[in-house]
Amino acid sequence: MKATEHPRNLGLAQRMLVVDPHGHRVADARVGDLIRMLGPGDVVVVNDAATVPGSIAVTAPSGRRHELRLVTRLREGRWCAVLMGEGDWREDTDGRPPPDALGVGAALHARSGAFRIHAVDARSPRLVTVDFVPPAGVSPLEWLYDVARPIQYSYASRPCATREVQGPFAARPWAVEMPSAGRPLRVSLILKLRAAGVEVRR
Amino acid sequence: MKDNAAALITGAGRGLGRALAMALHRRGYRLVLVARTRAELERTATEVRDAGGDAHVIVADVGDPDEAPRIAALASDVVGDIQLLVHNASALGPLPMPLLADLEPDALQRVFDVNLFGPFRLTRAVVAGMVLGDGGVVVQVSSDAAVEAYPGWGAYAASKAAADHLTRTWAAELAEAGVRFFAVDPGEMDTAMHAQALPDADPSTLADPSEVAARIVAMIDAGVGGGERLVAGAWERSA
Repeated sequence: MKATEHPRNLGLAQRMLVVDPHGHRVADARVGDLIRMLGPGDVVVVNDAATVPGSIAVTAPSGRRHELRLVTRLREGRWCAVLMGEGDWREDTDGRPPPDALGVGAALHARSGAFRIHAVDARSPRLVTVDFVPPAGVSPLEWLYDVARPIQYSYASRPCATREVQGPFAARPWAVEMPSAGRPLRVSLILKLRAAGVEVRR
Repeated sequence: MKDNAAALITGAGRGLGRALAMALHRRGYRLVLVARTRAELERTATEVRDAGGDAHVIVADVGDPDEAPRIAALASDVVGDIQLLVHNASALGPLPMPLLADLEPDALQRVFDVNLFGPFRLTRAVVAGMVLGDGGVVVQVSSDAAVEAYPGWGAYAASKAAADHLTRTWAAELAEAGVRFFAVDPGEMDTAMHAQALPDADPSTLADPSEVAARIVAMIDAGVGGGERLVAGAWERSA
C-alpha cells in the first residue's frame, strides 16, 4: 500500500465502492459514475460540516506542554477532547506520552486564554471535557480559529492549513476532521444530479 | 427575498460598506460585517443595533488566503446560510498611486489578493450553501477604472476588471442553480478610500454612499443578477 502523504483530491475520478444490499452486489466505480446510477426519486445527502482547527498546544499547571485534540462539540464553548503529553502530529499517536493527571477545574493555558477541565472520563485521564475560556470580547469559536491548527497525523509530509481540509460543501463548523466521504464531490456533479431529478440534501 | 435573510458584507467598517449595512438592515437582512479594523466594525454594528437590527462582526483580512474558510464558518455559526454576499472590501495599492513601470510586482499581487482572490475564495466558501439552500445573490463592487485606463490606477483597475469578468462567468455557471451575480460601479463617492486616491477632489462633487447603497439594494430587489455590470448613477429600475 502506498501511504498517503497529504490529503489528495481526485474529484470525480475518486474510486467509489457501490454496495447494493438488495441485490447482494458490490462493485467498483468512480464518483463521477453517480450520474449514471441515480435518477428521479433518489436522494444524495452531503455532509456540510466545516472542519474547524481542533488541535491546540497547551501548557498544564505543571508547566509541561500538552496537545489538546477536540473530539465532539457538546455546546458552545464546551467540547469533549483528548489530552496528550508532549509532542505533536509528527509523532505516531500511539507513541505519545500520557498527559498529566488533571482534576476538574485545572486550566490548560493557550495563547491569550485557557481551557478549563470540566470533567475527566473515568476510563482514561486522556479523555476530558473542557470549557473554553477565551479572551474578553471574543467568542469561543473565534478564539479557536486563532489558537488551534487542524488535527493531522504523522503520515503527512507537511503541516496542513485549515483551508486545505474543508469538504466542498463546508458550512456549519463542527467537524474536527475533514468529512472525507464528500471530498471528491463537485458542485458540477451536484447540478447534473439535480437536473436529472435527484434530490440533494444537506 | 427570503424572510429573515442574512447578508455578509466585506469592508463594512466604513464608506459604502457601512452604508450598505444600514440599507440592508432597513430592508430586513440580518448582517455579518467583515473588515480588518475591529473599532470601525463595532461602530457600524452599533449603528445597526441601535436601529433595531441584528449585526455580527468578524475581524478579517479578505486578502489572506486562510481567512475565507474562517469567515464562512464563523458566519454560518451565527446566522446560518448566507443569502446575500457583498464583495466591497478593496485595496488601492501603493499611495501615491504609481505608474505600472514603477509598480512592484509584489504590490500588484497584494491588490489582486484583496480585490480578486479574496472575493473568489469567499464566494467559493459560501456558494455551495446557496446552491443547496435557498439560492442567493453575490454582488461585486466594481469601479469605472475597470473599463477606463487611468494612469496610476493599473493594479486596482486590472483587479476590478478581472473581478467583473469572474462575476459574468459565475452567473453563467450558476444561474440555473438559483444563484445571482452582478457587479456595480458605485461611481465616485465621498469616502475615505476616495480621499486616499484623490486627495484634492471636491467632496461636493462626490456621491453620498448612502444614496449609492440605496440604489444597490434596489438592484437586488429588482432581481438583477445575470452577470450584469451596472453603473449606480445611471441605473433606473425598469417598469
